[in-house]
Amino acid sequence: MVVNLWRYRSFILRNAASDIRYRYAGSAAGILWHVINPLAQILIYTLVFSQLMELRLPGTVAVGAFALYLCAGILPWTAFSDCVLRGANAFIDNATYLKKLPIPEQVFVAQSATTATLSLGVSMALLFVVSLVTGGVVGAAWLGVPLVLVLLQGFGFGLGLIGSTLNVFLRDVGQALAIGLQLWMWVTPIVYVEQILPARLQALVTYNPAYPFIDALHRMVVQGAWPPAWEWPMMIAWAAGTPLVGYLVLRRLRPEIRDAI
Amino acid sequence: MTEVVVSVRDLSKRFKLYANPWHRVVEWLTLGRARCHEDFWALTGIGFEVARGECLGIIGVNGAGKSTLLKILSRALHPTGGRFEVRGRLVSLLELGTGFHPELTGRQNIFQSARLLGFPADYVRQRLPAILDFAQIGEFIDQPVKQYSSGMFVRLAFSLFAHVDPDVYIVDETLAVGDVFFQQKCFERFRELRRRGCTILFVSHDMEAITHLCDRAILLSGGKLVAQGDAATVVHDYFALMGQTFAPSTPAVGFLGEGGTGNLTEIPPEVRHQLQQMLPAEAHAATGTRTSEIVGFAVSEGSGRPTWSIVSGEALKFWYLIEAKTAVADLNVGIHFYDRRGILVYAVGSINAGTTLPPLQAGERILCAITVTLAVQPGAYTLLIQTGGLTDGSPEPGLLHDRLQGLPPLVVTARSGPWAPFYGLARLPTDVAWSTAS
Repeated sequence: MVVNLWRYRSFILRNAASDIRYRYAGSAAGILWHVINPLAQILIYTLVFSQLMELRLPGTVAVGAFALYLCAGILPWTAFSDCVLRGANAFIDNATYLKKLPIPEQVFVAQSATTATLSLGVSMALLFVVSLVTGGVVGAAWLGVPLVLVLLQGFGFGLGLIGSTLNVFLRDVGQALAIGLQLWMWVTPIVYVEQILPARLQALVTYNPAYPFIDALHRMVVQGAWPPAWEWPMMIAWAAGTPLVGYLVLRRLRPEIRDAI
Repeated sequence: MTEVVVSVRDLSKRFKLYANPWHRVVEWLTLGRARCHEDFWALTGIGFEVARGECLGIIGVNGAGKSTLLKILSRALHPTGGRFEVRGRLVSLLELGTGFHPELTGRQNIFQSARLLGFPADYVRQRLPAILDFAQIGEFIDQPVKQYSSGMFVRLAFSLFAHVDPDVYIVDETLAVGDVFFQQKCFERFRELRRRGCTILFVSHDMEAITHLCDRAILLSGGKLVAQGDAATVVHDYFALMGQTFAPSTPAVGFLGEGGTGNLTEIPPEVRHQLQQMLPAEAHAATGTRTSEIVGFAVSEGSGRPTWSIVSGEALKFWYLIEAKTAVADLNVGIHFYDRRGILVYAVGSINAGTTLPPLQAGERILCAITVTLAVQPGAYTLLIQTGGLTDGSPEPGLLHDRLQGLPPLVVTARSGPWAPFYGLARLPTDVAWSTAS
């Protein structure tokens, strides 16, 4: 699978780049929307939570800290969920290619994952700038952010691959995934702080596969601290394990995908 | 020793048909022990070989499995059983423009598509002037292809395909692109590719193109390979097959004597057999009074062999077995030929031809044969086969009795030779005389 993805790397990158370039095709600001959208999101959160609602992150007095916390979780989550959902529709959306060209199937999932990752890169770079400007804790730990984001998207790619294979045969999978991801977001401490949960649930929350990723990001972005050591092997395991499972599922069903699509 | 480039052995393809997508899940959960699907075999036991530089025609009616076969060869579908091998790079015209991204410019698309087909950028850069020249889309090459007319789109895609040098080409019905000049350029390009030793698999319903371009052909029917051999023979088999599908094999019409119907003294046995097949009800057009009815119909060449194809300039015999439902005094038996543009090339009836058919009593039958020399340009022709009667003594055959519909097209192929015996729709009686002038 890796060999094939490497062989098609320029196809993946070019298509991902043109997906990005043309998502807002026809609008006057064009590609600028990729900057305007996340920037607006970040600014709105900052304004609402720090100025209007005056929410404070437990243990901090910094004005922008809660907005930063929120953005550090919600921007990667949006990209992750994009990665899974678009990935799950990748085969169906690219049916014309699959029916006629001998392109390996996983290329299309990789393409949508790359698109999501590229726009995530833009929004996180903006967050970095906003954090600098508003006086957040910007430390060496920010260097770990790209690594965590890549691992998160690897996890998303794996889920997308499983989803896209099953979705060819059962279109319900795509719909169910959308609902599942919504639920998943709310059981992950993204829009709330885990300390507000009852102690019983706080113990459970760490079993959530998305938890190490989001927690690591929170620590690095908000506190300028490195994540605890146990989170790294967890993240690597999810980022490597799900694509592997996805590949096995794909290999098992590959002969029928192009028949059924 | 010729080198085999494409070899296919015992290839088969099954599609699983599920009445409901959840049935597949049931099969997964029971590890295949519960069988909830029906098998559809699109191909069974296909085997053939193609040598380097050969052009193989693949023919068959719609649904015979041609596209499935090509998709397997181009690795877009996985076969269920059997093996196939393609030596070298294969490019399929099935993919014409599929790799094109609407937002990329023509130039960018050329590079991207070529990369998908496995040709490096340098390779394309070298051929770019030739590709652009061939496609004739001028300034538009740097516009996104979504702004192209469909003609421009296809021309660009085609010229890319025509300028890469694969070992094996798959061409599927795509010669019908662009205007006539572009088509001629395409044919020229194909001949050049063949000269260079490129192997071509050519799928078309244009039997004339098959006989002209291909060395050999294979005929598929219902997913099976029913004939292979030299192109002309297989094309003949194809028409024989089409004739059979048209007339189901239930002999239900008894054959009465043929005496007293003009000079028809001998009826070839195959023609007799075909005339005895009952025409299906849907073969009769809804219009018509059915005063007389065509109960049997056959087409044969000079030797008496039933056929739906003929070399331009040779004669075909059209056989009608007609039954009068009520008494008919002035029967007219007619035939019309239309070319692919729908232009009436020739129409004639027994009355026009100067033959007066005898009056018929109700229930009486008559066998009538019209022989026409098809000195028309090569191509596919559709037929109108009908019977009628004169109305009110008018000289025009105005009253339609019965008309056959759903007949296969009649294919006229070109006579081989250094030049065509004529140009245009049809050959008019011509004479050229000369003497040396002093």
